[in-house]
Order: sequence, then C-alpha cells, then structure tokens
Amino acid sequence: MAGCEDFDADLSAYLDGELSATERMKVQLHLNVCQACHDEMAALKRAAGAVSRLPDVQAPASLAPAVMQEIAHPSAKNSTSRVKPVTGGSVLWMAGGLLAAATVTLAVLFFARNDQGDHKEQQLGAAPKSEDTTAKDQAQKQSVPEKSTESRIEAKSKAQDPKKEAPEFKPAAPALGPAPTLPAEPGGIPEALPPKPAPKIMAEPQADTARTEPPAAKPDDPKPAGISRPAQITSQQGTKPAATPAPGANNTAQTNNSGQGISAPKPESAPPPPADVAQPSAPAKQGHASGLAATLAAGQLVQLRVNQADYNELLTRLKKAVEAAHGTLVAEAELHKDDVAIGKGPQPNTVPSAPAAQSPAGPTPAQAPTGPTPAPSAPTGPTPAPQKPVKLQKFELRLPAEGQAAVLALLEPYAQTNKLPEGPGVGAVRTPPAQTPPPARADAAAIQLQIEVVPPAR
Amino acid sequence: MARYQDRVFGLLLRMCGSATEAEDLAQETFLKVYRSLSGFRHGSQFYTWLFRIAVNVAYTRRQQAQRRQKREGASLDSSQSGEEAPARQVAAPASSRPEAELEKKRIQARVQAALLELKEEYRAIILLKDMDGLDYDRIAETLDITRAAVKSRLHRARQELAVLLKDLNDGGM
Repeated sequence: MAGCEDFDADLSAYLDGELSATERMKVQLHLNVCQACHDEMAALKRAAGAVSRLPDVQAPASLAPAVMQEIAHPSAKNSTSRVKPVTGGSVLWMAGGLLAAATVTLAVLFFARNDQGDHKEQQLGAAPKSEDTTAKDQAQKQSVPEKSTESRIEAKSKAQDPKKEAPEFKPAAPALGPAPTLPAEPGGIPEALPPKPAPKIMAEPQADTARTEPPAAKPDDPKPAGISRPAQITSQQGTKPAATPAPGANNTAQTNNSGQGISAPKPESAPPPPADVAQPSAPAKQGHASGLAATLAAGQLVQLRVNQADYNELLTRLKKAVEAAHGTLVAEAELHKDDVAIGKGPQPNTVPSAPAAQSPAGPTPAQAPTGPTPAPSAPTGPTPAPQKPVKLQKFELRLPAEGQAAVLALLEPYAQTNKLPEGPGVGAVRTPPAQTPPPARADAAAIQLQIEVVPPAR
Repeated sequence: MARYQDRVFGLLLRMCGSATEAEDLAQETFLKVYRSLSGFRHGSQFYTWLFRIAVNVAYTRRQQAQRRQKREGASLDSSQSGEEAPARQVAAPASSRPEAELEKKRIQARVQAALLELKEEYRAIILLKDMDGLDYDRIAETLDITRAAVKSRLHRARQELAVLLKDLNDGGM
C-alpha cells in the first residue's frame, strides 16, 4: 500500500479534478483507508472554498477613463498615480535635493548677473573703441584686397614679362658653370696619342705643342722640315741609305754631303723653295754662294737639281727674281729625259746652245758614259744614274751684276755640288763653254743654267 | 477592457489587499496590455496573457513595497495595515442580514488576510485557481511554469492557507 506521501501532491489535484481516472481511483482508495489524508483533504477543500467564496468585486468606474486618459495623454499618469507615503527618509532626501537645486540655481544666477554686468561695462566703455576698431578693421579689409590685387597684378606682370624674372635667374646661370667644365688635359691625351700632323698639334696649347710636337728630325717624318735644316737632313741621309746607289755616286754623294750639308739633291725630301730658302745654315749658304759665284765667274754651267713637284714653283720664283733683278731670261730649252737618261743629246730644236745631257741623273752628270754628245770634260767611267731625271731644263739668264746675288741666293739650295777634284768648285759639273753666248749687255752677264728635274721619292 | 477589468481588478485586489492600489495596478496592467498588443501571440488565450501581465505588475509592485518596507522599518507595518482596510471595504458585499453579513465579512477579511500572509506565488496560484477558476494548464501558462509545478505549488499553497484558516475552520466556517 502506498504511503500518504505518495498521494500528498495528488490531494489538491484530486480536489480540483486534475487527475486521471486511475490516479483519482488510487487517491480515492487511499482516502478511504487513510484518515490523515482524509482530514487533510477536508482542510484543503475548506481553504479552497474560502477563497472561492470570496465575493466578486467590480472595478471602480474611474479605472477605464483613467486608462483611456493615460493612453491619450501619457503625462497625465503622474497626476493620477497613486499617492506615495511620505516618510522621514524621503523627506530628508527631498530636502537635500531641493537644497542642492537651490544652490545650483543661485550660483547660475550669480554668474549670469556678473557676466551681464561685465558685458554691459564692456559695451558702455568700449563703445567708441569698438567703433574705431571697426573702422580700422574695415580699412584693413579694404586694404588687404588692394594689396592682394597689387600683388596679383605684379605677379601677373611678371608672368607676362619673363624679362623681369630673368635677372633672378642670371646669378644661377654661372652656378651651373661654363660649358667647358671639364679641365683641359692637353698633356695627357697627346702623350697617349701617336704623333699628330702639324696643324692638329698647332691647335693644342703652346706648352703642350712644345711637348707634343714631334721633332722635325724624326726619321719617320715623311715631310722633313725643309732645306732650311740641312744639318738634320744630312743626318737623315746618313741614316737612310740610297736605294740603288752606284759606287761612284755614293762616293760623290758622300763627298758632296760632307762638309757642305746640302741636301738639295735628295729628291724625296725636295721641298718647295720656301721664302726663306736663303736661310740655310750659314756655312752652307756661304759655301754655295761662293761656289755659284765662282762658277759664274768662271763662266761655267750652273747645274741645279730640283724635285719635280717643286720645279714649277722654282721656275716661277726664278722668273720673278730675274725680273726683280732687271735681267732677262734669254733662252729656254728642254732636253728630253730619254736623251738624258740614255745619254742622248738634246734635241736639236730645243736649245741650240744646250749641250747634250751632261748630268742625266747622277750627281755627277759628267760620269754618263753613253751620251751622244759626250762632254769633253766628262769623266770616264760608267755612272749609272740612281735616279733618272724627268727632264733637263736649260736656261740662259742675263743678269746685271747687282741683281745676281738675289738670283744666286734663290738657286743656291738647288745647286749641284761639283765633285771634280780639280774643278773650280761647287755648282759646276762641268764647264762647257757657251757655244753661242747671247749678246751680253755691258752691265749684264750671261748665266748658263741647267735644272735637272728629278721625280719625287717613292 | 470592460470585459476583463472586473476580473483583473478583483485579482489585483486579492493580490495586494488594497482597492486603491488594485486600481492603480489595474490601470498599469491595462496600459501595458495596450502598449504590448503588438507582442501578443495569438496562439495563447488573451485572458491568460492579461492575467500574466497583471500578476507581473503585482509582483513588481510587491517587490518595490518590500524594499520600501525594509528602508522604512516598522513604520511600514502600520501603513500596510492601513492599506488592507480599504480592500476589504471595497470587497465587502452587501448583506441582507446585518449579523450574518458582518460574520461573512469577518470571514472574508480573514481569508483575505490569510491570502496576504501567503507567499506571493502561492497567493497568485490560489487566486488563479480558486477565484478565477483557471485549470492547471492555464495556470501553468499564466505563471510560465509546468503543470507539475502548478500541482505541487497549489497543493502547498492550500496547505498553508488551510493552516492559516484552521481556526476559522474550527470556528464553524
């Protein structure tokens, strides 16, 4: 049998009819046998009945209007709210809150009055000042736009006129430095470079030119300094043997060069007769002058050797010199080179007075053995010309005594050295007597001139 | 509102024992219902939802009163005793026989006094069952508790109330 505790919670449910039929049956069976539970059931039934018998009440009539009023006007709720009991604690809290609120209100009012008083004082005392300041402010406001306008105009004018801006940039231009900022190092580059031609070297600075200028006496220099430097040329000849020198020619050349230093016969270095031709080394000039003078005095043939490239210029200068000396170029005849080379005599129609080729190519034309018209004074022995002359040109000059010096000075560099041991001197290879001397004037002397034109050196 | 106002007002009167407070609570209850209509779930019955709001409003006001009682001390006892009188007066029905009516009023006052001596949750569940006639399921829904909780809680509430009304029962009620 189940205990009373098992049906304790079911008694109220049994009373309320909230139990199932089974549960209800069980409780009924228990209530029938358990007086305590039966008594409790009766007590619960009376308690429930007491509450249920409480009379129904009606809501007050003011409830609905109050609710509707509260819905329409929410603020009205406070007025219709219940009256809260006022206690001592709440009174104290309310008093404290009111005191604090009053203090804050007084403080606010106090500061507000002070601020108003100060503001009034400021307004009253500073009224004129404010007017002045206002006027000043207005003036400043007016002036500021003027200044700004002026500055705008200036800026505009500057922008329109770039010249005004130019002076500002002028100082900056030197700061950039001149274009040739790179230091000229003329010394370094020419040292590394091979010898340059004269014009390029002359473009270099003076100091560097002196340093980089190749010496005129360089053996490789294709263009020697000229006849004005016979000593150098002499040394050049010493270092440069002749291509096909004849034994005799070599000797002749050596003999000629020795002691004279005349390099005119050297065809490869035959320079054009410069204006300073009359400025060879002093010993040579003196020797030539004296030789040519002696040749002229002896009435012998003056033989010259000139490079083919320089022939025309020499001829021009010769004509000018003759004219300047008030002389005349009487006759001009050309000996064919073949004749000269092979020893043939001159053409009959060229120069009547010109003998046969006396000095075909060699320094000693008298050595030519096979000449058609061998010179009577030609030395014996074959003398093969090392360099065939292109042509032989023979002139007859008539020069007054006072004009001979200038002409001889012109011809001296080209004068052939006569190596005749017993010869009278320089310049005459042989001394053929003039067969048909031109009628000489009283104050003029006839000069037989024979120019041997040699080809340029290869 | 006219349909439910008497029942809500009667519940709140038995809950708080004061007709004025019951009216104020009823007003607040209906305002909350009006403002919370958008959140009403149509799956539940409206009066269940309405009673639930009324009970909660009564709970909240009772808690505020209890805090106020703790602050005010003994003075609250006298005020509470003063509030009960109007409730009785409001609830006092008219009687044909004055003596019988007086005895009935005394019993009703004693029952009301016993209810007010109960815990709030016991009071609410007794009122919802014995006064408003809600079954266990509606009570569970109104109080948001389980049916079993309603069964046990109601049983204990009746036991306490029976104890409180023991003398009354013994007196021939």
